[in-house]
Amino acid sequence: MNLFAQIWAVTAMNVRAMPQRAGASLVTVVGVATVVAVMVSLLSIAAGLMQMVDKNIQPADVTVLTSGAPAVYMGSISRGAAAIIADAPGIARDPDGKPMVQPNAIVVVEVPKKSDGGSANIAFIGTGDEGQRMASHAHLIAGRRFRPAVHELIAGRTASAQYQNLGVGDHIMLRGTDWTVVGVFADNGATDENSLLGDVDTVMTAFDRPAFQSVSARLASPAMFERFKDALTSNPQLSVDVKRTSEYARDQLKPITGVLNFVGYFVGVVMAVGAVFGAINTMYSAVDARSREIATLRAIGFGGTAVVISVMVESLLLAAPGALLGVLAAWLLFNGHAITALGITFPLAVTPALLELAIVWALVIGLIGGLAPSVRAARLPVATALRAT
Amino acid sequence: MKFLPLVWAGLWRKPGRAILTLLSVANAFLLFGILQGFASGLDHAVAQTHADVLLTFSRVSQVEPLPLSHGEQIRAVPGVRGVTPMVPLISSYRTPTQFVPAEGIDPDQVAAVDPDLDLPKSMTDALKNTRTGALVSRNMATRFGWKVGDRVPLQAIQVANRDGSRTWPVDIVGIFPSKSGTLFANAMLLNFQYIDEGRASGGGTVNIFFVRVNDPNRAGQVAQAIDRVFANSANETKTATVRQVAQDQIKQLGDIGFVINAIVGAVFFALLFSVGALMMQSVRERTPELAVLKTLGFTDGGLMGLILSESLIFCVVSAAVGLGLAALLFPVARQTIGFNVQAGPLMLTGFGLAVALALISGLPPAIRAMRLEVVDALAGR
Repeated sequence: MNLFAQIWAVTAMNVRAMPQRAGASLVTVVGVATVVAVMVSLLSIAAGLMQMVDKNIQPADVTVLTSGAPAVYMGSISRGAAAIIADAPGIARDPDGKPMVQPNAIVVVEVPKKSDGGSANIAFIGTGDEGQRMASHAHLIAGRRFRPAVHELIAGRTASAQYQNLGVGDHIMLRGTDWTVVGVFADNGATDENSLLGDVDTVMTAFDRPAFQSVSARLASPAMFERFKDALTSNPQLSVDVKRTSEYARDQLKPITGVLNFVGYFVGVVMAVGAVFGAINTMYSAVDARSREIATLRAIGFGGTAVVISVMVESLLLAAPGALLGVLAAWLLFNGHAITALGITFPLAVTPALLELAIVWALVIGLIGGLAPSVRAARLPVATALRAT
Repeated sequence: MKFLPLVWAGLWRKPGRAILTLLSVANAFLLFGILQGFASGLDHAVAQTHADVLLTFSRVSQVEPLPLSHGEQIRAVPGVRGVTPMVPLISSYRTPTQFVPAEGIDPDQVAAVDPDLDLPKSMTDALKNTRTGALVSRNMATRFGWKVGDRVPLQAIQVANRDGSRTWPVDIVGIFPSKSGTLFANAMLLNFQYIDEGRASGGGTVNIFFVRVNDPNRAGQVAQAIDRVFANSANETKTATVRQVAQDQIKQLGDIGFVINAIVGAVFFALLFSVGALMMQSVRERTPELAVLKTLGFTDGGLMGLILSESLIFCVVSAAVGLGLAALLFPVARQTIGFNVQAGPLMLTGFGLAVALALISGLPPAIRAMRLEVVDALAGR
């Protein structure tokens, strides 16, 4: 009998005997499922944040920031500089032939919370026609668009729900000026649903801003990025950094996702160590319970390798459903569940990548757990084991 | 007590299995200790903050700069004992992981503002007289092997120097004691002037003013008085005690308590199975022995007690191992992140959990042992 046939025969025998040791087998399944469920749940926080970024940002979109400014709202780009940026090569044209470039004013404003009467800080973004065109997912769900030159704004869906005085028709005082809320918009769950939008020139005048904070642009294709970037950074009249908008958003979130992922992996590793001990136990008792059968097989000519591999396979077969159960639990409990952290509201995401990670994690636990017991099974002294009761 | 050897022997019937299960239970308690220790350290850090220290930020956000001149106006508010600007120059030393939290402060004021800071006048004078001077906490000096007189090139993470680089050379002029759990226990203090005049942009602005009041009971009123000074100006402020600010920041992170409890809950759910399986297997294998004990006159209740004690001793010993390991980490946490873990209540909760775990997972096998029919068990039926 060749090796594969042997492995198959022994494994089939093991699997058929599994239900007899349901209790012990359950230890591995539940152990792995718990590790996976906890780890995937924790990692789904960062995955949710990243998914929100990926879903809403076009690959051809770029952001121009003041050189050295850690975030867009700390930048300062003059009107002259903005005009130079609009002439840079590689920018897409809108149907009217105008370059798709939008200088933005970004002012952080304080708004009162509905929940506890406290206050929160959100961004009030001054934008314009091109900016609205680029935000292709954004659409009004109530009211109308803001008009330039008068103090009108539209509020994002999340902002409108969370803070006072942001319904259509409401008035709100922001840094000493009175604004009328004329509409509420949705943007596919993107971060700007937690902000306010108004006309860029009106915002700059109202908040006494001498310059724009950043410039957004859409390129003709994502491949034009290097050319566009080189043209701006090599221009001595400008002192700017150019980033893909997706990259910028990821950079902004990196400190948060870094901590979140660290916690997820840390807890995952510590728990996995515990699960490995559980898996080793299960497999030792499986081998013990079957020492006579194994000895019989060895006596009639089955090789040690076949026994080793079959025990490993059984261990993996117990770990794999654990992974699926764990991911299922995490998915049922948390996928799409919206949480608010650091002022951003976003849904948790149990992604295919996390499922993959969970399966790898579980198989590693199963593999390490099965190693020592499988070697013991193969080394079982045949004569003694046959005599055992 | 006289049955202790019997219980002990029962536990170590299969030493390999017992040790593996012990390790997985100990591992879970280690995780419990680390997570709860973190939470308790956080609570403790907040509780330890002083009631007479205020922070003044821009009303709009903590990163929005305020004009430097606000400092003088704050000092003029009645009840204010001292005020210093604080500008972070977050840096690294030789490698990016050698993190150096440096703060630009006013050397004349900082000792009066932070009650925890033990700075002799000679040290603040030395800082004042050396533009590029730096006072280093003992922890940090030990970590990097620095001594007074060393010149250290800091690599700022964000703040660019006027020459376009992010390198800021500083000269160490003093080393102050690191009081664990305090604000500057692991920090470096620099001249605010040096950073302000050296940076490429943002000169003349301050992110945070650190304010000490005369009477902690009037801290709330003084905070309001400060904010009133700047009300309706272009740069409105928001002043709060350090404790409030810390609490708000922790709240921003989300519900840490819930996350920790959820993780611990899931871990213990898995443990119920592994301890339960261990006990069940052991009882099953010992059926004839247990029957002999019954024949010798052990009552049903006695046998149940025997099994439960086994489970109890096993869980408590495992928990002790795990919690002990966690306790070894607590001093490390104090050293590196300045967390004072409150070990007492944590240990109490941990052992409480161990007892609950033992009783729940030991109950089914104990009942099985109790219900054994001597005749059937001896006959192996």
